[in-house]
Amino acid sequence: MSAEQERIEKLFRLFVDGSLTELQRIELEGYLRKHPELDALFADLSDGDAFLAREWADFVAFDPAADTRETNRSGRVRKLFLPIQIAAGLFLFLLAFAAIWFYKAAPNNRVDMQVRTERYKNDVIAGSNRAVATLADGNLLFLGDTVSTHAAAGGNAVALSEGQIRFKPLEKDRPNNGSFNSVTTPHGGQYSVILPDGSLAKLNAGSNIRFPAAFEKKRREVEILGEVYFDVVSDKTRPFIVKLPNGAQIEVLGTSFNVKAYPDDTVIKTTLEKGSVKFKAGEDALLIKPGEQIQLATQASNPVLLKRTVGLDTETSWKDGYFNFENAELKTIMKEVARWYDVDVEYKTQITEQFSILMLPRSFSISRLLELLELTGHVKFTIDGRRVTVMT
Amino acid sequence: MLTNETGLSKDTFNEIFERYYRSICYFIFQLTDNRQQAEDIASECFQKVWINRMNFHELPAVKVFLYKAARNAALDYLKSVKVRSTAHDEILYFSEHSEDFVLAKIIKTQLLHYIYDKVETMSPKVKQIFNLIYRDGLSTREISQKLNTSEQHVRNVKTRALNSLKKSLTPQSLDC
Repeated sequence: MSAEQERIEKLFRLFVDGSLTELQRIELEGYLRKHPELDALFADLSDGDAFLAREWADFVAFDPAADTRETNRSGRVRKLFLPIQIAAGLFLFLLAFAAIWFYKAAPNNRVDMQVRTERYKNDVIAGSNRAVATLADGNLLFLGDTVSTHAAAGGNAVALSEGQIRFKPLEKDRPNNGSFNSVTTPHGGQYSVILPDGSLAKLNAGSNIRFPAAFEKKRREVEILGEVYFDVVSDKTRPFIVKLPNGAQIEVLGTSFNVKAYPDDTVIKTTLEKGSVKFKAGEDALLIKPGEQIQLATQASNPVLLKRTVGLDTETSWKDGYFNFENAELKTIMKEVARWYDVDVEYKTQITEQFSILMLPRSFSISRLLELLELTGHVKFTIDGRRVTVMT
Repeated sequence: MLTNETGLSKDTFNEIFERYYRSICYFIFQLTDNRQQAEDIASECFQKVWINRMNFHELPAVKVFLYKAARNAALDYLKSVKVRSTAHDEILYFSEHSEDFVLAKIIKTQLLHYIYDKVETMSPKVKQIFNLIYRDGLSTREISQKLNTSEQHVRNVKTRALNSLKKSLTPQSLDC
């Protein structure tokens, strides 16, 4: 542990003792701001004896005396000492393996530049404002960048402007007849939806939103799939509820947040920009503050809600038209690329390095993005039609 | 001083084992969510300490080594699991991408270790009630029935135990 870590541990101990001075508390709070995970631990510890109630049983269950492998002290040493040859052998093997790996990882930039033109058979242009809306009356609207062609198609129920469809609220005397509107974006498409209550839902590529022609009196309920950025109009009498594919739901009053819930992702991510959000999954519920993200692993047998602090920019900049990745895994980046450029991604090798792309316009063609990634020397691509292959 | 100039003696090693086995197990358990694995990996880590015993001259170094070895072994285990749960994926991700994820787990473990040491100094009766509450999760009523005493008494002991956790050390003794 570094000196700083020792210091943090000491301050935590003093907190547990209840003997933190005012000055030490300020010092500790400084560390907590720097380390969000510690902040979460601090919050746990601050909650009366809940921390003990939760952790104590797990901690004391591990008993050195009950370690069944050895029964007495000298016996333990003998037993532990036995597999030394195996351990040494394993160590040498790992050392050799690491050496090979490092050797292979050395990049060779110059050659890559020369053959890039051969590897990129074609370019792929960026996605655009495209969607299909299914109206409550059964009408289908094919929405694109140009507005005029179908301005009349929706009748009085919707109004269209560039990249945006507005669903007008139903007249007060008309009862909600249980019909739904829905808007779906294809891969390579994005579209903004103004809901009947005036709230904004911006759909990223490959996403869907479904909502009643008129919201109920007590609640505003929408269902989504994929990635949607919400800016919800405040209405304290009618909470806004986002239902997610696996039964989880998000409850808000008035706030802006981003939900990423693609069926082919293993994690649902909800990032809060403003206001507050309550995330519910089964029995579990969590509140988050602006700048925090809730992650729900969807395929875990026992789903757990995880809270972490994130850079807001990396999570919501797509809605402003930018790619923004900070130390992201290639797979994460390429998933976004596949959705936005509507390409298939094939892996010839596993890439373990992390990549950062800061504020690259989503309007750029795919080659400019891939070239940037190639400049790191850790990865190469080929483009052939709508197929992108990842190589080293 | 636990150690001498010529590395760890057998007795010193056993003392370290007694002292840190629980913490290291718990720390690994936080990462793997698997009790059996936690114990197995912890044993391996202590084994490594024993193998390297000539290189250790002070306790803090052993502690740092144990946590590092435990972290690496736990993550290796997670990577080796063929059908990995997404919860495991998350842990792998956070432990490799966020410095303070593991740090927070270490500090959490160390705090429990610290509290454990304090509980050990409590009188047997107080300790018993403390464990019935927090280890076994019994209610005040259940404990009073089990120990054939009043609920008020159980509540009093609980308050005393929690207070003694707070007061058993003066700030001066730690703040250097």
